[in-house]
Amino acid sequence: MTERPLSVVGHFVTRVDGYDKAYGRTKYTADVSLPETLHVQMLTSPYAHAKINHIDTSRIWDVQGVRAVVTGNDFPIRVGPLVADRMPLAVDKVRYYGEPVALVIANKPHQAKAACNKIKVSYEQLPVINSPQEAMQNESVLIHEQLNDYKLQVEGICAVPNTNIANHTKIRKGDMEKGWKNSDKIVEAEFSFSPSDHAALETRAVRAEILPDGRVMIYTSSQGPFYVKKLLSQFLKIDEGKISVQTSMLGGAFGGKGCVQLEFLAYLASKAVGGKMVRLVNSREQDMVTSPVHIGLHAKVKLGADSAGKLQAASYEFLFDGGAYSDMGAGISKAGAVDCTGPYKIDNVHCDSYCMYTNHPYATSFRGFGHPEQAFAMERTMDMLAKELAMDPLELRMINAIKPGDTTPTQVHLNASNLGDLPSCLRKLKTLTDYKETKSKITKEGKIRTIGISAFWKTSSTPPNATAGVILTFNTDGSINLNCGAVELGQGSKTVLAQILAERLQMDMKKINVTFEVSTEYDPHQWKTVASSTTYLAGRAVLAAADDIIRQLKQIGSVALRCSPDDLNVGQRLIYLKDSPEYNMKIKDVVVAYKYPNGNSVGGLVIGKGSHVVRHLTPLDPHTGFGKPGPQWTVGAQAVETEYDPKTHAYRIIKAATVLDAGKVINPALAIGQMRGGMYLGLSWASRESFSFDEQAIVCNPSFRSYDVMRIQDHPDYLVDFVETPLVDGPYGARGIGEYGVIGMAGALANSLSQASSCNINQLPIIPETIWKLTKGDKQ
Amino acid sequence: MISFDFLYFRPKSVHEALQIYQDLSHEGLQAVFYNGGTEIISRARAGEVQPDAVIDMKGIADCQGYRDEAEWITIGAAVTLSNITDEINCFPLMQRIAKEIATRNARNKISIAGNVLSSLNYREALLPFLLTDSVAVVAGPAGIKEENTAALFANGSRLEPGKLLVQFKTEKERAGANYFFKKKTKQSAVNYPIATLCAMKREGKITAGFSGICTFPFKDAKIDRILNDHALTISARAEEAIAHLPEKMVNDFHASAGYRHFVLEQLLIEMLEHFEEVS
Repeated sequence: MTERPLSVVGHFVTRVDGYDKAYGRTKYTADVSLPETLHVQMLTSPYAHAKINHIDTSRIWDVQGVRAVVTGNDFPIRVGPLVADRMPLAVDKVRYYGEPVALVIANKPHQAKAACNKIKVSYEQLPVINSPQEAMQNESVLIHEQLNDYKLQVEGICAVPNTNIANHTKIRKGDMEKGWKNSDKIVEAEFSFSPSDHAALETRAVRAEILPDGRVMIYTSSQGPFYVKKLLSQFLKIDEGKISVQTSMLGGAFGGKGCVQLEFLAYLASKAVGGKMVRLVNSREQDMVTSPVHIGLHAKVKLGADSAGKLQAASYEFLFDGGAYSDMGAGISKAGAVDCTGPYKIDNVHCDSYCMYTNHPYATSFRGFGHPEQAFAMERTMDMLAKELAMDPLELRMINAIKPGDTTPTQVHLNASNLGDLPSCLRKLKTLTDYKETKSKITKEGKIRTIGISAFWKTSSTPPNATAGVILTFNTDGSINLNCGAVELGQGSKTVLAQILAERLQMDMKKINVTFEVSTEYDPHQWKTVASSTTYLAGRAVLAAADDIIRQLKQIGSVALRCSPDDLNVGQRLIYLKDSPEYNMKIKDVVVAYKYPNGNSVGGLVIGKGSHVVRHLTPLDPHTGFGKPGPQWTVGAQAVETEYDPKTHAYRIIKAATVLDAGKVINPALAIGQMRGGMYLGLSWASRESFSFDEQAIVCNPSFRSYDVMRIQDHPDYLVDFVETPLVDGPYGARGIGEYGVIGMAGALANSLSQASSCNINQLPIIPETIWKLTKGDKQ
Repeated sequence: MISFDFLYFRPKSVHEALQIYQDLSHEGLQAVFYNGGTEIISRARAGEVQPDAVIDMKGIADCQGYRDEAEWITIGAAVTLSNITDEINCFPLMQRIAKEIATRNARNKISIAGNVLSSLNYREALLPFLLTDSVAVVAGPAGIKEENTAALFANGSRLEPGKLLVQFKTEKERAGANYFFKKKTKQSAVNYPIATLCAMKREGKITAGFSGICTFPFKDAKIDRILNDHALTISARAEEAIAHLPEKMVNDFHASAGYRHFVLEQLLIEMLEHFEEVS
């Protein structure tokens, strides 16, 4: 590529979906209602763990408009992405509060709901497992008695039969005995938080139809339409080509729409009514507990450092609260383990990470995938260590920052490209937040202002064959259509991909048309839109497709302009001679075949294709964890400033800051927006979001009336800055950045408030009562 | 979505509303009086209530609007909390309390009657009427009666079925009295109170109202006597007041009873100090 300054990449470009969203014109899945669609209502379990003795559906027919009913025995097949452990509708027993038990299909939504209320289920309550610790200790209560018979869907997941362990990942690096021996200071701590919600504005929704020729049409609010197709094909035993999955724009996802749940139910419902189109839309309450949630955790961390503060050894025990079914929880427990140390050089590492079955709503991916959770435990322990060493927390992170030449817990060798530059992030954070050691300031009103910091890293837990593809077609005016399988969920991916294309083709953004809807019928395959991987995977695919186009244009241009293809350049919608640009032709005259003056045509349609697949990833060694779990790491540093009232234990979040090594910022406004959104998500979770369970593991707060989220008036000032250490194989050097803003927030908030309140705040959410309990404990 | 059918009536007068209620009762149908619907709709959606009929109070002139007369303020029971915050400036405590209930969107719907007669514990809109010894105008089969608010809603009682809350009448001089108000939530300001304390001081005497502490909002003569007992220190008064709550403190997922105790004690001390400084 010739060196020239970038004209689109690195510049602010208005997001291509911006106007439609601002004017409320965007149509989401549940906004579409077609005549003659039937409506599905779910009956869900009122208990967290109970035997189903009998389901009596006879009285539903009293309700007008009822068309069919489906119960678990109609499809007693276990499904799941990693461990096939979940029947779409419960059979024999329910394992969490809110679990779907039956479906009623009716002409109108209210008829389906009224009929659901007429189903009589006879339950027999069973003892519940209400925490991951209980799941580990209490072996008399098994949530999955037949775990041994379950089918493992992917390599590297280790479920342990006759226990409540859905996955066990082991990391064994270095020599622990030596590490502890070299440690002058050792700190140990325990951490915990309950499951919580994704709380996306759009609740999950799906429509399904089975056409007379057997084709299955699914319209779903999913982050993984191709994944939906794959799992439906596998478990329903239908050819993939016979399944079409279509996804429009998503109203927020945060990982929660990567699971395949409602799609199975909608298919079963459609099947029960002869293939007619059915519609299933979660109520807010169902979206909160029936559909999967954000994972909980109980963690033990032990760190050792020499007197200079150099980390010598680290051991971890993670008990993730995966809930009743493993879904992505098993993968999250692995992701938390492979990056357990955070972005620090530690030669001796021991980690046992478990995904535990409990009687809680089951967990799926949440933005950060195991990292906000791991980072909370690790970053708190780092601050406890700093205190023990009487060292500034930022200094401790600086001297231990992982660098090129070091290895990860799974012993991947790091270099500047695949890691980025944490020390630069820490230095920039210092300037950005005006950080002068974490000394508290006391305000006139007697409140305590403190900055807490954290550092983070993350690699994407992509499968070793994660791919994305792009197809480019032209309109006769020379404008271009960009088709790819990436889902737009608010992150701005489609805008960024269009920018990458505009840059490579030296074309005006206005001449690039992006298709927002994804259809598995005509878009090329993409793994999923998750794991901060779209800019990298689909961005590389865009570059490949653009290069494919350039090659074709030069080929045809060389015929028309009577030169070698190598003599030509493409840009500004022209094909031109490098040395004499006045010899040129318009792209639009080539893309639907070039016509000679005498009418003869050559070349045919110009269609660009490109794809990218991650490379060199390997499953982990089951005994040591050795292996390459993801393509690259992104690092960063964060800070939170709070004002804490020592009298009432209430606090205000004043500032939140992120400095991220983005590799290359493709769209500054979008990137800043992503960081702010991530910080918001992390702070809302850390400061208030949590499901409360009663003794019977019933969720006490499954609605926004009682489930607290951060509101507009609670927002702090957000500060964002970037470091740009190119990822050599990233598009224009860009790294994945989507999830990162969330990762270090809980740790930074807890560090700030721990310092201010002089107690170790090692549980979430941090509400005033949490701090009150801890300070009371100190007094006693 | 509400999955069951129900009858809907929109009477124009109190008399008509009561007649509809009686007629429905005779037919064995259960009716509820209805205003903004924030509670009836959400509980019906959740399957917690299933009335046969709703009688909408919004068309009843006597239940609407507020009158600011020489000595009395009259507030219709169907007046929304947003009406109060926007318009009823002569009752600052009422405005302040209304402003901290739910969100603006919800307050556009929530009525005085809806909040005062809510099935939840909080019912904070009752507190200003309790503290000002307001008169509750209640219509029933025996006609329209003026009742003492505190007596009518003592120990968490609500209205007997078939009775209709028409309006509250408050002495203007009391409505304008010096007040203290603080609402404490679990975390976000928009949430149910784990403790709300409001108090007024008139003629040298403090009277206090509580919500979120027990399963109902209340003021209590014994507590007021303690709060005004200057033989005791402020913190002793706070402690003693808490020892005389009408019910043990609520212990739920919003807050433990112990934490509520801590919060309430601080609120009481803050309130007593506030009035001490003011005087």
